[in-house]
Parts: sequence; structure tokens; C-alpha cells
Amino acid sequence: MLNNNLLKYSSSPHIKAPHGTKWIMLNVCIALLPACIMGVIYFGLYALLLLALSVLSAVLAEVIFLLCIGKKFNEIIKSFDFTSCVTGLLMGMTLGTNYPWYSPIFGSFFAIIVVKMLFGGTGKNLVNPAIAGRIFIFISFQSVVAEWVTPTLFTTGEITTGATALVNLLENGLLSISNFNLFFGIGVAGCIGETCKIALLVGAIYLAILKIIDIRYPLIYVAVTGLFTVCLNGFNFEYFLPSILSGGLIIGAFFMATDYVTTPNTKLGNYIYFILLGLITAGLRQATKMEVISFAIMLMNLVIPLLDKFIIPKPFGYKKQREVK
Amino acid sequence: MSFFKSVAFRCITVLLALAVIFGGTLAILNDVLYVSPEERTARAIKSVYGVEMKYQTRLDVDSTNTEINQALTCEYGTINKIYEIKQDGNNYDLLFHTTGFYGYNNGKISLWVKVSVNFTTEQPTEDDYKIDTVILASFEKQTLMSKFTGDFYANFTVDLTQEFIDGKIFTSDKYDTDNIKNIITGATKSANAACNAVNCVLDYVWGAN
Amino acid sequence: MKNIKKIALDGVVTSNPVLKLVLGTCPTLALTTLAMNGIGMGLAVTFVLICSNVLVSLLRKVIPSQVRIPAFILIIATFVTILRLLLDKLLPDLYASLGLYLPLIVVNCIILARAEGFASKNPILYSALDGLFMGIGFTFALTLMGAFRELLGAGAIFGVILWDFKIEFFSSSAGAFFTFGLFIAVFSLMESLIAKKKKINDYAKLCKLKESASVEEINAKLKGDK
Repeated sequence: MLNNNLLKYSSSPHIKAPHGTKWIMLNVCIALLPACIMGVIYFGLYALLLLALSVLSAVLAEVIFLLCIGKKFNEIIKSFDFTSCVTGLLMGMTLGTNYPWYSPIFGSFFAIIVVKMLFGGTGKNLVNPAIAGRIFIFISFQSVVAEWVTPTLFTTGEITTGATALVNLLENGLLSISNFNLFFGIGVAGCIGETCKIALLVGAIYLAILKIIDIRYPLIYVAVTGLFTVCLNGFNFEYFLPSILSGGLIIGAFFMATDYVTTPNTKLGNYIYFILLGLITAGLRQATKMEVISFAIMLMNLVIPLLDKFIIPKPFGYKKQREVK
Repeated sequence: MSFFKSVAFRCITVLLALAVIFGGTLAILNDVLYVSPEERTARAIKSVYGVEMKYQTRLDVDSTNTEINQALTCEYGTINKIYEIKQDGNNYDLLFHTTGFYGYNNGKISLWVKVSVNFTTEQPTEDDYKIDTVILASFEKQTLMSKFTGDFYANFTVDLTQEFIDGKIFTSDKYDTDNIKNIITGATKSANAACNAVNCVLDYVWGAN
Repeated sequence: MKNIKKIALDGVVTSNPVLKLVLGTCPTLALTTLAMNGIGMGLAVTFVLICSNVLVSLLRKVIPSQVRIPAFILIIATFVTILRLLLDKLLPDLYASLGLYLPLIVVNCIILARAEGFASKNPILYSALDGLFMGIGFTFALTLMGAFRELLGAGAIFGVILWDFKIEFFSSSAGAFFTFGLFIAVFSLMESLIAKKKKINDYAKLCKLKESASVEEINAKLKGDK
């Protein structure tokens, strides 16, 4: 029998690094904490409940699945990589406080069991499980949910009646919340984790310093989205900052689109992937006047096998043969 | 001569024979099983009232009277027929067969709308009209009709009181705060057509007063 | 009798047209939002299956094999039109609920597959029975999926609202594909478990043990024989 202590198996690329999955995932959780704390401060204790339920049910789902396929409980505890924690936390952060308390439970179970475990576990999922869980919740509980909830703290006088700043901007061309307020998330209606942009950026810089994410690509994504929105709205540069700062773009770009499993393997592939993401996000936002980050990311996730198939990385030490005349 | 013994000839004969025989059968059955418009009206009345009722045609869009046609068409739909069914005393019910345009894929939705008119004065005023029941009659090119629940149709049953005289209509636009919203998430265009069909009834009722 | 039993088992379980042969997926995905729709569609398809199987079997010696597909389509289309006329006259509610999918029965692969694969090679009685049992299998699968999706997606069953809680994912098209995959997976799981059990029973019989012998006893017996 294979002795699990002697053999380690992992998915490609097989690069030797000093830190394993556990270390990476724990640091991602730490990076997400500032945004979570700000979300709880803005939206109250119900937000904390949603986040906690999300993480706990994600972990529970993974444990239940592993028990069902026959693994022993000690093995599960020993080989627990915190990927399900990150999935649960990210998914919880994309919920608004107007969702019922049982929605993160169903979303987490769907995300972990169907999208991650049934496809092969860590490293084998086809799409980002947090995104899939978010979309599942969005489709399933739409009837129980009304408009976006405005935060309970630091509310200023001019809050839009329910619709997020993004929708208002695209529909009426008016910026009802100043860029400063958008950046700090003051008085902005939206999901728990996405409103305080500065907290998210702090976390992203932390991850970039630790070399966990490559900061170029999300920046490209964000920039392309902004520029394309400007193009689509008559080259009016006033649209640039609001389109970047409103909605779930920052959290989507820095934390969800940079998931290791669902990004291409090559540099060129990555550039194409993130630029296309930016174009699709801006285009769909303009057309549907809704928040489309999760749908855009999931769409591009499904295109990645195509990118990987046709963009073949140069093998190490390869020199093109000179043509013999 | 050998052609008549070949496979090709046999194929052609068989196919032609099948087509002729089936075509004939279907033509006969079409006549036998034909459902006339009167029968459709009777079915609608049965589903609205539960029993068969006597009715009279008040207005019909097929007539060549342009004035009547004017009264029956509105900008987002058309009323096909109006039937009048007598109730106790002076009261009567109007049964509208109306079609709303601008559905999904530019299709249409047709509804049966029963409006009860209860009045004690000489002539009914706007306050005396009330939409009682709305039933689906037919639809064209709509694909999500399964999302239309009983609740949606029940939302149309309102008293046509002062609120409506102020010009409110039914709408499926969730950002429209001036009118009465009746929305189906995921099938907004079809809901739009259905609202248009009922709005035609509202148009007629206002116009009649 | 043995033939009939085999046909019946084939139609409903072994070659269930929806869950095993994966034919006729279009109405399966679209009309399983409500259990009642599932039954309605199943009955409509059963009617067309029986009629077209009987007629194809009747004419199997007459239709040359080069034009068999157009001939089958003619026959199937005729019966679907007859069904449409009958439903409009006699069962208008079912007609309204089937809607667009009633004329689509013509291109439902199950009917063409059975006409091509069974009715054109077998006598009338067996073809009719095959049509009946395939239709029953189709109805069974559709109703089960419909009940599942209706229960989870609308909190109701056969139109009776049970509770207020709904997960609308299952009423949507994404949920249709998901439920379909789930049912196929569960069906194959059950099939493989039954096949495994049958294999163990066969081995037990071979080793002249009791039918309910366990794997260890069989292994022991085989080792002992060597």
C-alpha cells in the first residue's frame, strides 16, 4: 500500500517552492481579513454570521465528502489544506446581508462538493468554486431577496435607494457617490466584502509581497475594464475611476481571477486571459447594467483549456532550428 | 420499361402513396376535430365561471366599422372581442379577449380578462369597474410561460378606482415607480406583453367613460 | 412470454431511453420543471411511439430500405399531428402546457431510434409492446426528474404547494442539466451495484454455494479447490 507519509502528489506545474498549499491558503485568509472586518463594521453582525456560516459549511462539506468516499477522519485532519476555508470566505464575502441565513450553506455545499470534489479535489476544479457557489446562490434565492442593503454605519445623506452605485452610474450616467466614498466604502451598498476597496488593496499588496499572486495581471484586468468602459461611454474619462471602484471588480480581480487552478499555464496565456476578462466585464456591464464579475470570470475559466491547448510553452533550452538552405 | 421494376421507382411510389394517404387522413381529421372560436370562448367562460353562461358579443374587432376598431386598439396591444354577460340587476360582466404586443422575440400574449361592473346609478363610472379574473388564452413565440404563476395573474385583479384614473398602468419594469409593477424575474419581456394586454383593457374602460 | 418480459425490462430499466440511451434530451430538460408536465409529455410520446411502431412494423416489408428514414418521418409526423388535433379538442389544458414541445415530438430521437432499431425488424405485437414499455420508461424518468425539480425548485409536487422554501436553481435551465446528470449518475450506480451483486451470485452458484454467499466464502472455496 502506498505510504502517504513518503509520497507527496501534487498537480502541475511541478516547481519546487519553500511553501506548500497550506501556507499559501492561510496567507490568503489573512489577506482577506481586513476586508472582512470592514464589511462586518459596515454591515453589522449579520454579516459576521453569513461569513462564519459560509466558511464552516465549506469545511464541513469537504469533510463529509471525504468521509463518504472512505477516507479516515485522522487522515482528513492531517492532510487538510485550507482551500475550502478560502472558498468559503470568498463566497461569503460576495453575499449581501439581504440574503437569508441558509443561502451560504447551500452555496458552500454546491461549491465544494459539486464544483471541487466531484471533479477531483484540490487542483482539479474546472471553474473557481467560490464563483460557482456565488452564482448558485444568486440564481436560487433571487425571489427571497429584494434590493441591495445599504450599510448601517457611516451612512451619509445621499444614498441611492437600494441600487448599487454601479447600476446607477450606468443607467443614469450620474455618480451619486463620490470616488472617495467608493474607495473607502463609506455609505456604499453592496456585498459584504467588496465595498471597502482600501482594505482589499492592502490584502492584495500583502499577497504580492509574499509572491503568492502576480500583481501585474489583476492590474491589467482592472485597467482594461476601466479603459473599455470609458471607450463604450463616449471616451468620457469621468467613467474610469467609478467603473473600477464600484461593484465587485477589485475583489474579483485580485482574489478570484488569480486562483492558481483556474489561470492559464503560460505568460502569454495569462495576458490574453486577463485582457479578455477586462473586455468581457466592461462589455457585459454596459449591456446588462448588472454586476457581472462572477459571470465573466466563470466564462473565461471555461476558455482556459482552449488557451492552454494552443499556447504551447517553450521547452527549457529550446532553440529554433535554422532552416538548411 | 426496366425503370418500373427498379428500386428508384418503388421508392418514389411508396413515398408518394404514404404522403397522399396520410395527407388525406389528416385533412379529414382536421375537419372532424376542428375547434371553433365559439368553442374557445365557451372554454374560457367555463374556466372563469365554472359553468357555462350565456353571453352576447358587445364589440368585435373583425367588423368593418373603423370607429369600433379605433376603440379596440391601443398602442401596445389590441382587444379582439368583448363579450357581455348579464349578472343580477343592472350589473354585468365584460369578458375581454385581449392581445398584448412587445413580448419576448416580438411575440404576443393573449389573455381573457373578466371585468365586473357593479353599479346602482344610471350609468357606471370608473369606480364601478373591477378586474376580477385574468386567464391565459394563448401566446406566440414565448418560451418561458412556465414561470407565469397564479400569483402573477392575481396581481392584475384590482379595483379600477381613482388610482387608475390618474393614468397608472401595469408595468414589468422594476425601475418604474409611477405605475403598478407586476414582474416575473427572468421572463420580463413576456411579463411586459401580458401587462400590455391588460393595459389595453384599462384603455378601453377609461375611453368608455 | 420470455420475449415480452425482456422487452418490458429493456424499455423501462435496462435501456431506459432517457437515463441509459440518453435520447430525447430536449423535452427532458425543458418539461421537467413540473411533475405534471413530465407525465403529460410522457403520455403523448407513448401514444406516438405505439402508433408509429405499429405502422412501421406493418409496412416494414413494403418500405424499401433506401427511403426508410423519410418514410418513418412521414409516419411519425402524421401521428404527432393527429395527437395535436386530439389534444386541442379533448384535453386543452395538456395542450397548453406542452406548448412548443408537442410538435417537437416529431424529431424526438427515441421514436425514430425505436422505429429504425426495433419496429422495422420485428412483428407487430412485439413492436407495439416495445413502444409501450419505452414510453413507460420515458414517462417514469421524466416524472421522477420533474418531481425532484418541482419539490426542490418550487416547494410543490403535482401542483400542491408543500412548503415555502425553494431553491430556484433547480427550476432554472442550469438546474435541468444538473438534475439530468445527477439522475444518470444515480441510475448507473444502481445498475453497477445490481450487476456486481449478480456476478457474485453467479460465482456462488458456480462454486455450488448458497446464493447469498459472501465474497470471502467464495474466495475461500476457490482457494480450497486449488
